[in-house]
Formats: sequence, C-alpha cells, structure tokens
Amino acid sequence: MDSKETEGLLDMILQGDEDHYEEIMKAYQVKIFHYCYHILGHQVEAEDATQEVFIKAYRNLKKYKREIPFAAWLYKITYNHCMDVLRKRKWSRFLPFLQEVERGVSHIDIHIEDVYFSESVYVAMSALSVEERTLLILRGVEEKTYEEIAQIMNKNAASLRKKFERTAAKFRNVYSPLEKGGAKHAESARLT
Amino acid sequence: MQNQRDSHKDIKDLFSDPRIPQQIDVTKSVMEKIQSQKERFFVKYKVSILVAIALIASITTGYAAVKHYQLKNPQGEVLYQEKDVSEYEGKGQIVKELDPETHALYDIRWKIEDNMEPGTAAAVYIVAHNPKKQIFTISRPFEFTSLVDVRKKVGEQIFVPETLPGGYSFLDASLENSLKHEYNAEALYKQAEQEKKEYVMQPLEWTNELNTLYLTYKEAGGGYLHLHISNFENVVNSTRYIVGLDSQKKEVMKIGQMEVLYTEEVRGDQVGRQIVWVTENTGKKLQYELNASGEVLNKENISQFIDTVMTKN
Repeated sequence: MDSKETEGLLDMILQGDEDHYEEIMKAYQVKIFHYCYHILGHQVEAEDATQEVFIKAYRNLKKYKREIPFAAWLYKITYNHCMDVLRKRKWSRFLPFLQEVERGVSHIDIHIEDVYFSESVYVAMSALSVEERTLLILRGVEEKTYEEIAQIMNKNAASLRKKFERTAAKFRNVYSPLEKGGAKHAESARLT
Repeated sequence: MQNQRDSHKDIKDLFSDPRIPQQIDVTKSVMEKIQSQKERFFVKYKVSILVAIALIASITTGYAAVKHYQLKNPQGEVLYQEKDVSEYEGKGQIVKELDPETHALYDIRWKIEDNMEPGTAAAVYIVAHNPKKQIFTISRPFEFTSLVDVRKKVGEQIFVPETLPGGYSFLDASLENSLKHEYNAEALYKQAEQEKKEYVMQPLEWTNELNTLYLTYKEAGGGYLHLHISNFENVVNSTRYIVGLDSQKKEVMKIGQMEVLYTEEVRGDQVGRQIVWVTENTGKKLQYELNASGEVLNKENISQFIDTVMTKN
C-alpha cells in the first residue's frame, strides 16, 4: 500500500468510516507481528502485542502528524509497546528453559517451537537490548533506511548506523547454532 | 569492500526462516474491541467528565513534575542538561516522508559510504534520483585496534586509558574529526556530465578538531564497556533529548568539584548503567559518556572510573 492510498484511507476513517481501518491493518499487520515476534521472542505475546498496537494506533489516529510516514508512526507505537511489555514481563520465567538448553534437555525443543522458531536465535537476541534488537530487525532484516529507523526510535541516523554494525557483530558473537541435543531443526545458516 | 546489505545477508537469511509464522489476522478482533470500547465510552462519558474535573488538580501537578537534569561547573553555569524528547521544540527534527526517489537516492548514498575506506571523507554528487542536485558529505570514521595508534591520532587533546576498573582492557576505537567542507559543486556537476558516471566525488580533508571518539573495552569474561568522548562545544542549549527519560533512574552526583549524571535503566534482565560528565579543561567542552551493563559500574565506584579516564587531563 503506497502512502497516498494510506492517507486516503486515514482521511475516510477520521471522517467516521471506521471500517476502512481493516484495510490499513491488512496492509501492515504481518510486518508489525514479525517485529513484535522477534523483539518479544514469543509468538502468542507477539499476536497480542500486534492487536494492542492497532488498537492504540486507532485511538491516536487524530494525533498522527503526516510529516512522517504512517508506517514509521506505527512502528514507533510498536517499539514503545514492546518496551512496555518487556518492562512488565518477568524475564526470569524464561531463564529456566534457557538453562535447560545448555544442558541439552530435549523437551524444551517442543516448548520453543510454540514460542519462538529457534532457541539459538532467541539466546542471541536476549543478549541485545530492545533498542539493539529493533535496530537489527529493522535494518538487518527489513532493510529500512537509517532515516526511517531514526524516525521510529527518535535517534540520530548517523549514530544508528554505527550502532547497527556493533549490534550485528554482537549478535554474531553470541549466536551459535545448537546442532546436537539442542535445536529440533537444523539452523538455516551458521553465522561467521 | 563488501556492500553492507550483502555483508549482513547472513542475518537476513536467518530471520527468513520458514518456521517463523507467516500468517496472522487480527483485523476481526481489533475491530470488535474498537466497537465495544466505543459503546462503553458513550455509557461512561458523563461519569468520566465529573471524574476528569476532580482530577484536574493532580494532572496539573503531574505536568509540573517534568524533570530536567543539569550538570553545572563550579561557577554555577549549566554545562550539560538532559530533557525528555517530548520537550524538543526545534524544527527539522522530523525527516520528511521518503518517497521512492529519495529512497533510491539514499540507497546509493549508503552504498558509497559502505565502500569508502575508514578515515576517508568526500563530497559526493549522485546523478540519479537527485533533482535538487544535492551534494552529500560522506565520511567513514578512522578505525583502530591498537592503543598506540589511537593515542597517536588524538594526540595531547584527550587521554585514552589502556584499562578501566574491573579488569577491562582497550579493544578498539573509531574516531571522527570535523571536516573541512571545501568542495566545488559546479566542478562536480561538470565532471558527472562529462564522465557519465552514476556519481562523482571530491575527497575532503579532516581538521584536527575531534568530533567523536568511541572506545570499547573488554574483560576476560566477555563483558564490554563503551566510552564515548565527543565535542560538546556547539550543542544547542547544551541539551540532549532522551527517549523515555521517565523510565530511567538518574542522579546528579558530585565527584570532587565536578558534577556527574548517573543513570540506571532496566534492559530486559539486565540493568544498564551510564555516567556522563562534561569537561572544559582543554578550552572547549568535551562530553564523556561511559556505558556499562551489570554491576561493574555503580554509584560507589564512579570516582574510580573518572580518575582513570581523566588521569592526564
């Protein structure tokens, strides 16, 4: 969906035709879900977060200023929402299963499948701050420009650029695919 | 040198795993919630007005509690202050929407930077997607893995410690000085026209004035400390705007005659700690920022870090 189409729909929604909000959601929901999925490391929480983000966005549509792209504004809400979720979450409840990964206990393979696609990636992502995870996903995976990411994170684009290189290096440093007794599936790539 | 997009292909591939759920549809549940909230709103509207009136006093008090954090020199002048980003009132913060043309232009711009050698800078004119004939100043910081080399580069203006308390040793550094913005735009346009290239560039020279120095220290257990020293001379109102200032725990502390801003922030299962201070010793303002995770830096040992960093200043 291009920006003109989005703006047209937003105008109609703001004039009271709220059904068009469905079209907005259909255009952005998979991207927003994937972002939440990687930041939160949990499928069900990511689904809930996606819902909450769209509800928050709807409630605040009147405040949306058109100077920034709608997608960037939506990601900004998502970024803040994920920060809130992580603050509220008792992170420690995930730790026992991480420790079991190290011991090679196989039943956690089943557990992780319902939660996140790869325990190795989960462990590596856990070593990053929310800001770093955001940068890794938005730049490294979604290939957004640093200007767009700067809008989302309220940061300076030049500093993000430097930070991304360090974050990617940090991620690679921690990431190590579990090949025996760990992951149920072979990892798609070994990072070097 | 590898294109940056290609150099991070491994990460993109990893996150393109087929096990990642590809389908989600929250439209129905969101629309239902929006509808039900709307209905509840009308029922509760009158009651809410009364409650809102009663709450006005406390809300006003809440606004008054907005925090600023300031560091002052012994003469009482503000050297540095932090405010929440919501208080930013300047213009030009928001980048205008990136249309496909601008997007394409910036893609080329980043590609050029990715292919530049560390420690080089240039004025670059990109021909395609550039109707305003904008000229970019592009630079790559100097990179160092040797303490001797980085000390040689910064000279006497800044002391670069070999180690930091807690068993941390110098790992690497990147440095950028200010640039001499001396280029001939017309010559670039002409060169592009004659050579029919996608872009043309003129090398730019660095000044000797430090812009930013980013130092990383590592300990045997794999922990990192990041020391960032930057020129704070021309920062507007000496103010930095912080995202989510309220979520950070801050305290201005006095180390000798100097004020230091100590920050704690919960990040996932860890606590990030930071100290910031500003010096005027070299005749201009330099901002120091030390970032750490875990307990290595705390309120009790701040002076050890500052003593180590400021030894020769």
